[in-house]
Amino acid sequence: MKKSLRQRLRTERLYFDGGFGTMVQSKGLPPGTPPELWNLAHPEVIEGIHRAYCEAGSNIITANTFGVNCEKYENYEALIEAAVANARRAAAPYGAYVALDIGPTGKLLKPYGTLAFEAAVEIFAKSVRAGQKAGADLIVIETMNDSLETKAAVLAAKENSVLPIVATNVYDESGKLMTGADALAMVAMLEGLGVDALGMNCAFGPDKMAPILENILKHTSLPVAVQPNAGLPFIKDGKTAFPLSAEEFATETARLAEMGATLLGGCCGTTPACIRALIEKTKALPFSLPTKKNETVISSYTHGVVIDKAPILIGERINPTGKKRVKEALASGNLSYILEEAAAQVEDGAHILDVNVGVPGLSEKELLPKVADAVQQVTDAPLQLDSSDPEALAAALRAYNGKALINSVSGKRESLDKVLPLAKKYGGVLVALTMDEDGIPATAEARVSVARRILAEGKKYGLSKKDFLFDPLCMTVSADKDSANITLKAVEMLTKLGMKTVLGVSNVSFGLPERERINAVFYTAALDRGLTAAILNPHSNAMKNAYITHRLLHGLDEGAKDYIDFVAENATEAAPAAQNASALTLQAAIEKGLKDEAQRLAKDALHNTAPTEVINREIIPALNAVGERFEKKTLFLPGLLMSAEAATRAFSAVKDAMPKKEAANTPPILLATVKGDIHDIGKNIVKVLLESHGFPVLDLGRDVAPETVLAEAKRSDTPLVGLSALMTTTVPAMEETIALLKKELPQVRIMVGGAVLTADFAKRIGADFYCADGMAAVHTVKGFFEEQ
Amino acid sequence: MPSVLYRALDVRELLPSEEELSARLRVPIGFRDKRAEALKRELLASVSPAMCAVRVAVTRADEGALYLGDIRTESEALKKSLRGCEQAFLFAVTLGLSCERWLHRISLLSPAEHFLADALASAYAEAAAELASDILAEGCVLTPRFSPGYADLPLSLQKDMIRITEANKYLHIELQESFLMVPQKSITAIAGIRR
Repeated sequence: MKKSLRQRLRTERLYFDGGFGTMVQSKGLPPGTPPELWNLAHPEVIEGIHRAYCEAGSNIITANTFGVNCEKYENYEALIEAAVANARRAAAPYGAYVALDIGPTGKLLKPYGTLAFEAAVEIFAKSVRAGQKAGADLIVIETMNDSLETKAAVLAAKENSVLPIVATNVYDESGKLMTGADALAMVAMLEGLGVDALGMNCAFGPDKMAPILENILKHTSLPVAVQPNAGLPFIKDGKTAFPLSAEEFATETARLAEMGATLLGGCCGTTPACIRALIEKTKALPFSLPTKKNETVISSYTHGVVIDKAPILIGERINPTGKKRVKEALASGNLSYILEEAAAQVEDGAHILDVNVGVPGLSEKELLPKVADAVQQVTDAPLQLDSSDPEALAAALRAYNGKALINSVSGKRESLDKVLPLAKKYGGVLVALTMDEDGIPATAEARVSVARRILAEGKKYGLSKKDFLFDPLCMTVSADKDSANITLKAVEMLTKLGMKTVLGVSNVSFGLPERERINAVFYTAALDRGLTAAILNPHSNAMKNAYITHRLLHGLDEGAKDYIDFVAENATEAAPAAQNASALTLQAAIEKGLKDEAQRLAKDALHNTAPTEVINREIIPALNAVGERFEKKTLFLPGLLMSAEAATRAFSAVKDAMPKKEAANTPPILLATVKGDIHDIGKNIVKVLLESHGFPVLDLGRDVAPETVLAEAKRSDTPLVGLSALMTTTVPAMEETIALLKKELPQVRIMVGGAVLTADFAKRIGADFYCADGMAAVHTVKGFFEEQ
Repeated sequence: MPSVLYRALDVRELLPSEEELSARLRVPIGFRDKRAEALKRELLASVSPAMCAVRVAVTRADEGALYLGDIRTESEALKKSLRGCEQAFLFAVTLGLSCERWLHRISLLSPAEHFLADALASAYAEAAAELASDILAEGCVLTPRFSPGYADLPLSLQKDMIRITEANKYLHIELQESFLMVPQKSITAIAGIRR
């Protein structure tokens, strides 16, 4: 029986074609004209190039669709149909396969560019549907330099066709994509998404691909494709040229085949002669797929985390349960606190961050992807997406840039049926809770038996041990004296079965005083029994001590380096704190712009001073002093802003201590940089100055559509909106936003600022207040509320 | 289409002047700030500066318009700047998407540090443009660089600048509808060639 293409990809070396653009140019395509236009204009030329590659021996030829998508061409369907037909005519006599070739959209995805993830998926989906309809045999996604865009293309291919998928990325010489992903991150994500082969193309010649290929082969179990350029391009007689001859290209690319690449071809500057020579050089090499790996790995947009012998720390702090400030942040939409917490946990050593947004009354399905996206903007740690709502997990997994840890699935039938397919579709490692319809089993043996059942169900979806972290559930020891022992025994049993484990260790001490003492001892005991990962508070010194010491004693800390660093770090942190305690006042800390100290001193002051007194005696005088020095030009803008941030920290500490009545929820002032504008320095300065004076601010960010400003103004019941714009080209968007707000919410006042605005102009576009700079905004807001 | 010269720039050769740095940070010359120093180290670790350039003919049409290759402009200031030049370099520089990501991260965590980081990055983007001018000036004399948005040269010319330098392809610079560039720390410029 004839082998399918999928089978062939796994059992024999196959050859792609080589460069296309330069080939079409050599046939007379004028410089600057996109090659895809010749699919319809000169089909015979395109067919001829394909034929030349087939004659050279290519098994797979890529249709001339690299530059085609619905954003660039209204007639994209006709261009794709013609491209596939041209390739098919050439391929038929040789029995070669025809690939739909998908290249990048040419646009940057959000948050750096303007293209939304789902919009990218839809652009690719249209190409995929057109390609499948035209009769393509497979889909090649290539020259992708953004991991998230690669994911959008793969999802589009999976959701709109049944064709095999080969995905290749462009790495730079440091072994990373333009957006930061390394080889492990791409392997983890692409294998998770279920592509049929992966690899790299373009950028440079075969010689420079070797170290990156080595890294890919170290982690992947899939067939690997390499399509190098004919060396680094250079200019010769005013034209782009490539240094490698066909023979040289073939010799160097053959080395990549010897290393283990099994799908070979060429990119820019390569020709049918290169492919012919390459086949000649490699046809006698024995075929073998990369060895099967059994790594438990998750990834972020930059790197992967292999979960193996070394214990893994999962930061637990982004979770509203028992955390008032996380709850407030989620309810108000002002995520600053959450983002600071994310960055701080990574700084304190967390390898992975748990993100849980479960607050009654808020939509987890909307919030989880939003918060996960925001957290990914401030840290490159992989995330554990944490929800009991499978729809929320699906939404977050879909948009996540990487391969996530999924928290969680359980032995309940409904959970298995809803969550396992998500891991299959989007990739991810599952946290599997060892409980089922009957609740949490009372014995370790019974929990292990639930784990086995979950694993057996997982196998139906192609998942194996490596795709799970089993959670034998840590119960509070104050409620049941044997609970800790049962959990520890289950950890040991699961470990012996070759299963990896995870525990939310802090649960053990619930309801007891001095919880850290218990947590740290329990954590150490669990580590000794083989615990793989722990969900804990990375700021806790006791937990870190347990972690660091365990690594030291188990041969995981070469030269005791981490232990010594940890001790030294603690010593230096303790010393200045002790010195400052006597010397520094809260007022001085704010004036000097020391935000951590300001926060600590405000908390200290609250032990024996009423919150309002702390504000009136310390914070306000400090702000007045820096304001005066700034106006007299003895303090400069950087200093003013640092003081403002320190005052904000002090304010938030005071606010936490205020009785509920006094800290009445005043509606926030809304700030936004208008649609089309991404320069948000001015807006950020206003934000920090307002917050330092105790005004609540809801920052909508940059490039904010008028409709979003309106919706948020309605939702937050704000009395005052501040808009900024830097460019003359974005001022019309400001005018449009003002008009919409005035029409829908006439009671709301609007202040504006920005380099190109004047008081006159602000008035003309309907603003109520014009602020020339950050301090002017503070005066405006003070005046506004005094009047109110 | 003219051929594009692409080159990665050496971070160690980016040398912003004291004046530029002070002006961007809005501090007097000679002012030192520990946090700014720390951010400068982070910035230099995050940037991946690069340039691309094309050499085009400068022609003057009868009706008074100026052509740089196929780009047409009526800017009087640019005409004055390019007086006597028969050729010009059009070029683009960027500090790269990694720098954009670094700035964005700081903007979400600390507005005060964002101000400092942004000011520093702007000064280093100017230094990258200076370095590109120096590289292009090898063997010839260039007029001072001139960018869209200066004087009467409209910002809308960015579109043509990005197209002709292929900065989208080589530097991954994306032009927004408002003619802002992403990465933000990118500069396009025109420099006339005086033999």
